[in-house]
Amino acid sequence: MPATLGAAIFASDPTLRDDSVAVGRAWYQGLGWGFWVAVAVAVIWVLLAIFAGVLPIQNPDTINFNCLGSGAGPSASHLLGCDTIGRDILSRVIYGSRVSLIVGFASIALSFVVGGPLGALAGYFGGWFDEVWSIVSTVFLSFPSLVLGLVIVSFLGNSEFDIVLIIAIVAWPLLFRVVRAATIEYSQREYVLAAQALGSKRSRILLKIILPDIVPAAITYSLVGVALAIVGEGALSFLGQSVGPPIPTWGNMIAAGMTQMPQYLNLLLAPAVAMFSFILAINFIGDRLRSTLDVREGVL
Amino acid sequence: MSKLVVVRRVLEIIVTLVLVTLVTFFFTSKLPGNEAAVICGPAGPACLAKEGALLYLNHPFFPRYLHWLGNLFSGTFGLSAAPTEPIATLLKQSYPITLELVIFSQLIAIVVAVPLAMYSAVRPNKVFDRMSTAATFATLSLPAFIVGPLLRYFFTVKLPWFPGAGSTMPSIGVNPAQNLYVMFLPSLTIAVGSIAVYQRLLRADMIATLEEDFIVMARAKGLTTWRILFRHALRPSTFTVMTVGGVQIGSLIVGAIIGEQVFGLTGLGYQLVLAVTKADLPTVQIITVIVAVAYILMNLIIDFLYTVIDPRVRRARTT
Amino acid sequence: MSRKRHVRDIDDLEDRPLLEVENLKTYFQTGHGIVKSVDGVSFDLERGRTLAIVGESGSGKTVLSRSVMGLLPPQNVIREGRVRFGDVDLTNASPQELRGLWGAQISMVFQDPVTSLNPVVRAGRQITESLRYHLAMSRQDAKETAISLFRSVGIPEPENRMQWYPHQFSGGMCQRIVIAAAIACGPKLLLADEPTTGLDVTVSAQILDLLNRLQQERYMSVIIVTHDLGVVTGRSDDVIVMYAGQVVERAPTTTLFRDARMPYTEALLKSAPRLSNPSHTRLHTIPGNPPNPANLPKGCRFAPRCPYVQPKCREEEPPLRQAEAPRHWYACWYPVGTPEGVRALEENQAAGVPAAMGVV
Repeated sequence: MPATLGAAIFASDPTLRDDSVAVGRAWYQGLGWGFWVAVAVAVIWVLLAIFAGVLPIQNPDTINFNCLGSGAGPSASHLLGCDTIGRDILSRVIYGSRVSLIVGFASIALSFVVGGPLGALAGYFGGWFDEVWSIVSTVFLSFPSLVLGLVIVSFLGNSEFDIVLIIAIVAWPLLFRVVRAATIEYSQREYVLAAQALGSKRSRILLKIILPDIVPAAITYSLVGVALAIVGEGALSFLGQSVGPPIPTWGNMIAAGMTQMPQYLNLLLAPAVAMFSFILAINFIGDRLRSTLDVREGVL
Repeated sequence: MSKLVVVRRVLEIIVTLVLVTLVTFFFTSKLPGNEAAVICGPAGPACLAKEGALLYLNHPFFPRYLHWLGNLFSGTFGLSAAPTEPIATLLKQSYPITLELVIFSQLIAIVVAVPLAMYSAVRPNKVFDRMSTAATFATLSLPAFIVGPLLRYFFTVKLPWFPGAGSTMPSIGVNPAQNLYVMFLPSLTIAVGSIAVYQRLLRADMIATLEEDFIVMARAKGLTTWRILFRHALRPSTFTVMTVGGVQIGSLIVGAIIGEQVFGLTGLGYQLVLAVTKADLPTVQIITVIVAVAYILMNLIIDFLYTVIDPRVRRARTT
Repeated sequence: MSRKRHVRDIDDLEDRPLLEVENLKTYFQTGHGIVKSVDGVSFDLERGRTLAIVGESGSGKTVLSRSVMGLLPPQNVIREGRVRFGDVDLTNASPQELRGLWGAQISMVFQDPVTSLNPVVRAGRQITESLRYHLAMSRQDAKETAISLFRSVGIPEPENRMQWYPHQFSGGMCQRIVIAAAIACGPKLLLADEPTTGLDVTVSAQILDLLNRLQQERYMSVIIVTHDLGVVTGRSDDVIVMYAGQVVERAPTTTLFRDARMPYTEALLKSAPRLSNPSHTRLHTIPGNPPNPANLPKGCRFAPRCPYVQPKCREEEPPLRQAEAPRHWYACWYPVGTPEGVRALEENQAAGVPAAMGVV
C-alpha cells in the first residue's frame, strides 16, 4: 500500500477538524439539483399513470397484427416495440405504472393510518398497550416480507384491492416501529419533560408537542416505504401472484420479458428501466429529505 | 448478557415462535379448497372422509391448530397435495439449495463490499468514494427481479460464461466446482443488494471510526496502515452492519425466492411459489413456518454475534 | 520464524540536545482561510529533561505537539521549519522512517484515555502489539513484558487485567494503560498531551507522579502539554507559554514562577487558585477570548486583552528577547516588573482601560 494512502487515512483528525460549517441557509438549499430532477421524474410518472387514458397511446391490450412476431423491435409507430403477441410496449409500460403507483401509495397510506397512531400511542403511553402491539408487530416482522405476502395472497386473492391490503399488512409493523421509536425518543426530550412538569395534559403533550416533531420523520420514512411497497408488488407480480394478466404491471412484464429474453431485450428492459427510474427517484427524494431534515436513520 | 436478559430474550423468542405458527396456520387454513379434496383428487368420498379425519378438518380452529402444531413438532410434515409426496422429502431436497444460495451470496457481498467501503472511507469524498457511493445508491433501487433477469441475459445468453437457467447442478459435496459455477449467478443476484447495504453502512461507520482517538493512538504507535485498518478500525466499524444484519436477512430470503425463480433452482423459495400457485396448502404452511423460524433464529445468532464483536455489550445490552 | 524489527535507531548528536525545533509553522487550509495554529515556534529539549507547554485551549499547543511528532494529516496542512530528533530530520523523514520512530523512539500519551484505547481490543494486546511489531518479540516475551509494564504503571493483578477490555477500567487506569503502551518500546521522547485533563484531581496527581517516576527510571525526555500551570510546578524543568500559536515566554520553571515577564504569563499565574489566599478571594480572569487563528490581530497577539497594552503593541509584533536570567526569553514591549511595564499599567489604569482595571 502506498505511503501516501497510509497518511491520508487520518485526514480528518477530530481535534484538528474545521467544525464551522456554513450556516444560515434555507432548508431547501441543501437539497441540490439532483433532488429536483428526482422530483420531476416522480411527478412525470404520477402524471403518466393518472392520464394514461387520455394520452395518445394505444390501449395496452390492443393486438397489432402488423408487428406481431415481426421481431418486435422499436419502430416509428411503436417506439419501444411490441411484445410477442403484438401489444405496444410503451403503452403497457405506462399503463403498468398504474398498478405499481396505486399499490405503492395506497398501501403505505393505509399502513401509515394504522401503524402511525398505534406507534405514537404505544411509544408515548407504554404499558400493556405497548407490549401487546410490539409483540404483534414482532410477529409480523418475523416473516420475511415476500413470504408473508405470498401466504396472504393465497388467503385473500389477487385483486388490486387485495394487493393493497396485503402490502399494508406487511408494511404497517415497520411504520409502527418507526413512529414508536421516534415517539419514545422525542418524549424524553427536555422540553417535553418541562411541559410535563408544568402540568400539561398528556394527550395535549402528545398532540401539540411530540406529534409535530415526529410527522416529518414519519412522512420521509413513508416515502421510502412507497418505494419498498412498489418493489414488493413488483416481486409478487414477477412471481405471477399479483394482479393477473392481461392487466400490465411492471413486475409481470419483467417476468414475461425474461422468458422472451434471448431475442427481445426490449421486453425486459422497458419495464425494468421504468421501475428503476421511479424507485430511484423516490429513494433519492427520501434520502435527501432525510439528511436535510436530519431524521435519524436506522430507528428500526 | 446478564441472565435476566437471556431469559427474557428466550421467552420472547418462544412467544414469537408460537404466534408465528398461529398466524401461518390462520392465513393458510382459510385457503379456498379443502386439503382433503386436493389430496384425494378424483378419489371418492371415502378418501375425503378418511383424509378429513386425519387432518382434523371437521374440528374447530384451535384443536385443528394444536393437532397441526403437534405434527409439526414431531416432524410429521405430512403429504403435499397434488402430486402427493412427503413434504419432508421435498424439504430435504430444497433446503440445501436455499441455504447455500444465502451463504454464498453473503460471502460474495462481504468480499466485494469490505474493500469498497474501506477504500471509500480512507479517502472520503474523493472520486472513487463518490462513484462507488453513487453506484451503491442506485443499486439499492434495483430489486432482485430486475438484477436477476439482466444477469441471466448478459452472462448466460449474450456472453455464455455461465450455465443457463435450469442447468443440472450436482450437490456441493459431489462436485463443488460445478456446483459453485451454477450457483454463482443466482448468488450474485442476491449479493448485489447486500453489497450496496454493507458498503454504505460500513463506509459511514468506518469514516467515523477513523476519526476516533484510538486510531490516532494506533498511528502514534507506528503501526502500518494495513494493520490499523484491519486490526483497529474494521471491527468497531461493523456495529451498524450487525444491527441491520437481522433486517438484511429478510431481504436475503426474498432475494433467494426471486433468484431461484429466475435461474430455475428448486430451492425452498421455488417450492413455496409453486405451492402457492397450486394452492397446495400443507406445503405452503410448512415452508412458511420453517422459513419464519429460520429467520427468527438467524436474528438471534446475529444478536449473539453482536455481543462477540462488541465487548461492551456483553454485560450491558438489553434488547 | 525470525521476525523483523521495525525500529529506526537514532544516534544522539554530540553536544546537541535530543530534540531541536526551529521556527516550526503549522497552518491549516480551511474554508475560512489559513489558520495559523503554530506560527514560528522554536525550542530544544535535552535528554532526560521535562518541558511543559502551557496555554489556553486554542493556543496551538496540541497542534504543536502533533506537528513535532509529524502526526498531522498531510492534506490541507502546511508545515514549515525544522524538527531534528537525534540524527533524524523529522520534517523530511519518509512515512516508513516515521513509523519506525513512532511508538519506538517517540511516543504520545493522549488527552482522553478512555477514547484513546480501542474498545474492542483487550488491554494486553494494546501493549503487546507495539512490542511485537517494533521489537519483534515472541508472543510469550511480549506478554511477559506487558505484564511487567502493567506492574510498573501501577495496575494491580496485571496477569488478569491483561484480558480486560478498556471499558472495564476506570479513567485513571485507562491512562495508566495508555502510558504503558506509550513507554512499551522504551522511547527516548514522550509527548503527553493534556494527560490529566479528563481525570479527577487525586488521580491526576498520581498520573503525573507516575510520568515523573518513569521519566527518571528510563531517562526519557518528556514534553507535557497542559493548560494548567499547577500541573507544571515541581515536575518540569522548563516551561514554554504559548499564545495564539506563538511562544510568548520560555524559561526554567522556577524562573517563570518567580519572575514572569510576559503579561499573559502573569495573568495565567494569577488565574490559578492559591491556598495562601483568604477564602472567597475572586479568581483572576483574563478578559476577552483568544484571537481567531484565521484572523490574527496586527502587532502583539495578546494586545486586545492586555492590561499593559500601548499603541506600539498594536502596531509591532514583539520579538522573543532574552531576559537577565539565563535561558529566560519573553516577547513583550512593556514587560511585567520592568519600569516600562509599570508605567504602561499605571497609564492604562488612569485612562480606565478595562483590561487594566482588574489588575492590582
